[in-house]
Amino acid sequence: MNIDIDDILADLDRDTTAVDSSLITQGHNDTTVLGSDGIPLNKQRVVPAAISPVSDFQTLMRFWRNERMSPELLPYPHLLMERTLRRIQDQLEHIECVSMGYLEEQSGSAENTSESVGSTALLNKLPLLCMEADLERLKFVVRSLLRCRLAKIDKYSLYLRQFDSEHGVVPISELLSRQELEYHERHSAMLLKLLNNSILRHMPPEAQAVDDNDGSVKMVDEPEWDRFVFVYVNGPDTKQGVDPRLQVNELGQQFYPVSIQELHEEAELALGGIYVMRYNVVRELVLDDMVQLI
Amino acid sequence: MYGDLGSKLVLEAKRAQQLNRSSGAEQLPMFQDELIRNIIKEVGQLSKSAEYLTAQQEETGFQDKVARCQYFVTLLCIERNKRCLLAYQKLRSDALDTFTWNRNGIDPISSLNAAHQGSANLSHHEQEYLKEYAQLVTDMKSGDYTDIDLSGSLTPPSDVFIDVRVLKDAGEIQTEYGVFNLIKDSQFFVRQADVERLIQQGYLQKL
Repeated sequence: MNIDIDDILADLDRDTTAVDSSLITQGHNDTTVLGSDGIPLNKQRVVPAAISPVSDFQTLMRFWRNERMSPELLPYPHLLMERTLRRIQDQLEHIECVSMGYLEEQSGSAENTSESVGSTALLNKLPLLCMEADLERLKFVVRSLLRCRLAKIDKYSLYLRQFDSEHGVVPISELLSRQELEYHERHSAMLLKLLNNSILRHMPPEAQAVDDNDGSVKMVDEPEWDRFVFVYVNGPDTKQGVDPRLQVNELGQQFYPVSIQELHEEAELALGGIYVMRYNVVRELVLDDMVQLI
Repeated sequence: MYGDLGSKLVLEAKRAQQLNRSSGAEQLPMFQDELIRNIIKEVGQLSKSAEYLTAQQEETGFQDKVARCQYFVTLLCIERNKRCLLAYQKLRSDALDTFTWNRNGIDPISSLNAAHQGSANLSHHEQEYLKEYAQLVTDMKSGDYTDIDLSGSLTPPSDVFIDVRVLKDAGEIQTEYGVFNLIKDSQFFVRQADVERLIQQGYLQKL
């Protein structure tokens, strides 16, 4: 007779961890700033149970990978980026303060004994180095992400221009950040000016449009919706309960059913599997964070 | 035939692209002013004949199938020439964008023209575009993204400290994080973040 008491144990565990985590966050309060905890997230997508720097970083990494691999421009994670940028700023200031304090300490104690100076310097150096290297890495990720998005904006600028009128799915203000929007507008304006001045001015009036889709060749580049991408099926967040789309096959494995349009074929994306799929097949799952691009 | 000049221009663009890819140096070949002017002249002739054809059609009441075909082919020729011209210009402007991102903000903008040895290779519209784009990039970097240097290196930072060797004499140069005395052929063991810009400028060589 086995009595399953896992849930009772889990209850007990949760009590203790609650205390622990609060202690931890208090202890680290000087270095890490929990951002925008007051703002309620109204989106169902990517809602971490508690906003912490670590989970934010993981989300950022996932978003970065998706953005680099996906053929289309993904919606800009406004809140996440806001928090990340603020943390970078705070951490920069913090490092500045620590290194200043370290300098004063050194000059103050230099008069006393030279041996203690070396030891305190060594003691202080390591955390400082780690913090700086850490910050460099985070900055690199953000920089790479933003540059990647800017490159995509350049590539699809004509497509984005007609975005508002034809596809009302996502408003352009949600797709792009404020700075990206400005970049998009200014860059396409100056590119248009260049093309107008050097070429289009000399064309007959019916051939002067740059976004002419009725000619023999379309001039507006759309994203390659059916490009092949590698996906890793990570499944729903364990805390969020069961995903209604998830199904169980005869082997007892959980999978997402997806249908490939042009082949009229059904495919099973088992949890934990890696597949090569057309992007338009898995697009919904990518946006809902059930699969990652790799 | 019509469009032959256009394909010559595209071939030229292709060659410039391959040149860029193989050497990695941002150097644009000469702007093909002559060729482009010839193509534009051709387009002018084509559009004149298209006008003539439409006028003729109106006389006959849009019945003449041959004239309609002629008109259509003329339009296609115009379109093809337009495609070639735009492709050429876009390729060049893309190269200019890459150049701006790679080099700008590291050298002061005023020296942009000096740094670009082939500044004479650009048409004056392109020079204008380059200036505006450089301004745009500077504005982008100074907004909310000040802390993350957008035009910084895109290779991930792996080491905290690196060895660098000074390639050309520059005197005392570094200002932001302290002063280095850059004497030719001396070596430093420094934090990577400090010298990244000097490496990009070509003063230092990473070891």
